[in-house]
Amino acid sequence: MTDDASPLLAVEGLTTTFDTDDGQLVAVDGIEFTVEAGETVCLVGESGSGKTVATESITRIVDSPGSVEGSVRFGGRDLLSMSEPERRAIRGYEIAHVFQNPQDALNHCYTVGWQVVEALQVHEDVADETARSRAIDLLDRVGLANASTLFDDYPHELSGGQKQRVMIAMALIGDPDLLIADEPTTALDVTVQAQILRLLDDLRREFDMGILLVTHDLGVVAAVADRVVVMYAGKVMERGSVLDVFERPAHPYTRGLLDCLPGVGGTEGGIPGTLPDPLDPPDGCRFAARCAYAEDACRTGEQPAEIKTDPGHHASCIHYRPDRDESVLEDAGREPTGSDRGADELPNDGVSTDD
Amino acid sequence: MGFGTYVTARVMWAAVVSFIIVTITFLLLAAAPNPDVQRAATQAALQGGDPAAAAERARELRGLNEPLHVRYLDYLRSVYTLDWGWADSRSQPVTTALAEGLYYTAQYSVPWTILTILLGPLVGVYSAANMYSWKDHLATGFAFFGYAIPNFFFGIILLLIFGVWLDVIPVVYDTSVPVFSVANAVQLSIPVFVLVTGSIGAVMRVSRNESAEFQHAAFMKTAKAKGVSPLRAYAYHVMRPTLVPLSTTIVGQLLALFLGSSLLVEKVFGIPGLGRVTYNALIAQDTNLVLGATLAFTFIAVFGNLIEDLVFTVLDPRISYDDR
Repeated sequence: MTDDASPLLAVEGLTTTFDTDDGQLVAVDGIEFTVEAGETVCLVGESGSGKTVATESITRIVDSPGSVEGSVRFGGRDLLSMSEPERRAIRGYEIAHVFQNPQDALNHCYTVGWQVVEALQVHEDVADETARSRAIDLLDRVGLANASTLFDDYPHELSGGQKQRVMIAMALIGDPDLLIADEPTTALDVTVQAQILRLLDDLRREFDMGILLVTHDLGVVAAVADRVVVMYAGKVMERGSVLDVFERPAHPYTRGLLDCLPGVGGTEGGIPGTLPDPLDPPDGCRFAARCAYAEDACRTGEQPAEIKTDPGHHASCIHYRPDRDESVLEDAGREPTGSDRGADELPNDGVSTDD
Repeated sequence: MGFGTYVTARVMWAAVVSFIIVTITFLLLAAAPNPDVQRAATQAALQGGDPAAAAERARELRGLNEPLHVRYLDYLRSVYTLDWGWADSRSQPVTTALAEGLYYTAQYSVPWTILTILLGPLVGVYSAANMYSWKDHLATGFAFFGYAIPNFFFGIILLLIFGVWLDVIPVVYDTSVPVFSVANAVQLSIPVFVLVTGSIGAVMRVSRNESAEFQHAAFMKTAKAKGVSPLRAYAYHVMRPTLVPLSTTIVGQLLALFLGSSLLVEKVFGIPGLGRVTYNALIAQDTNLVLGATLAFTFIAVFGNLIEDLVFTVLDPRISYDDR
């Protein structure tokens, strides 16, 4: 189902389950997507939709009760079936992570330089001085002033933005092919957010690496993404190139998300309802309960299989099945009133999503 | 304020604290009746002499008729020049008696301290890494057992088992064996074991609970994502922050046991260490030696707390040297 012969990262049927006291929690449920070398793929969706767990499942760094199944092919190797030491050799060296909250992501007992160097020296037998100069170069490259003195500073002496830059330097010191950035700007000031995103984009070009960027900020997606994967309640709802998804959003969920953008949808209140209970997901489409276009067929069976709506553009919605008329989405969506649904249930009414 | 200034300030505080304790000791001593004077008076009365005159002579002989401030200054000079007087009960200078006691106390205190510092955090962190497994429960049970059972009682039980029934250690400590010999190691193993079980419990509990917090910290995920092995992650990223609060516990536990239980343990095992020297001096009413032992323990406690403060700042870079 991949669009290219051998993508950098090909995730297929990735399922992550947590055994909890209340039962099996399927945080990520059979998702599929790819990341090509040198491109930015954005994983979007609301909080709790499984984005973070999905990214942490790739290198299998999910917290201990989580079990990961499926296939994650990276450069021709299956990350999930290889041994833990083999995977460890890839972590931080070929696939690097940048996390959401830089405040806690650094160990307060060690200098930032020590922690950056550690990321290199667990993989390569590099002399201390060489590692130090490489780290200082990178700290300088990620936009930290006085990198050589900052090397010996402790995390508590740095600001949040500086810490995130340190985290990025730490991720890049092994010259990775893929950078997984999990909401790297959420915990930062708005002014710093833009700088960090620009930095990531510059570094992607400079290091020719793929970036898998988790975000719930569609503005960020529009600015940096090549392709988008929309997740909802552990499932992929839609994926495609950023132009396709923004210009012709296929899945009703994606349409709802885009409508939430200020100045685009112009609607108040967002998508009504909340995520389904992950311990007891509903039958059929996960989004059906909140979907304005849901029919009885949406509420039975499994999540609909992905259907190609454009080349390289897939949606998991039964309205795109060949035997159905997808224009029902357009009609209902464009109808201001007059449907049997109340206006309060359907705040998207009367709003065009694709102009 | 830099680290050097901080250390200097801390050392000076330690000196002030020890000075205050020395002063309090002097005042208590000055207020208490002197057994030597009483003994002289009793002696005189028994031999038909004048007890009051004899007491006065004894006071004069010991300089007790001098004004308080003169005696205080004299006392201070003696304390800080290590001129701690004559131990009548042992017929040797107090410092010599204490040094002899320390010689035996050190033989079990050094291995005991090292074992507590090494094993306590290791077992505690291991326990946290395997939380709620049988290994954790075993370690926790051992910790509570050692913490709960009185050391002297545990010592007697073990002495009964290993000294009387199994006959592998002498019932009374044998001072004739060389310090670095198998026989000495064997006979010290039981007292060291008793003390380690007493001090390691709290250390294990604190390190287990502290590291339980750190092993789920965000920086552990960072370490994992960097490709750091679990062993290295625990050794560097969990152990290090755990040692910060733990240093307080370790020093506190060791000092408390050293000042209290070691005396009882020495009595039980017949080790002629500092605790026994102090105990015998108390029985014999040897004021000089009791005073000397009190000061020795005081200085050890002050020194221990000083070390703790310094270790704390070295371990946790977030503690600033200012405002203290």
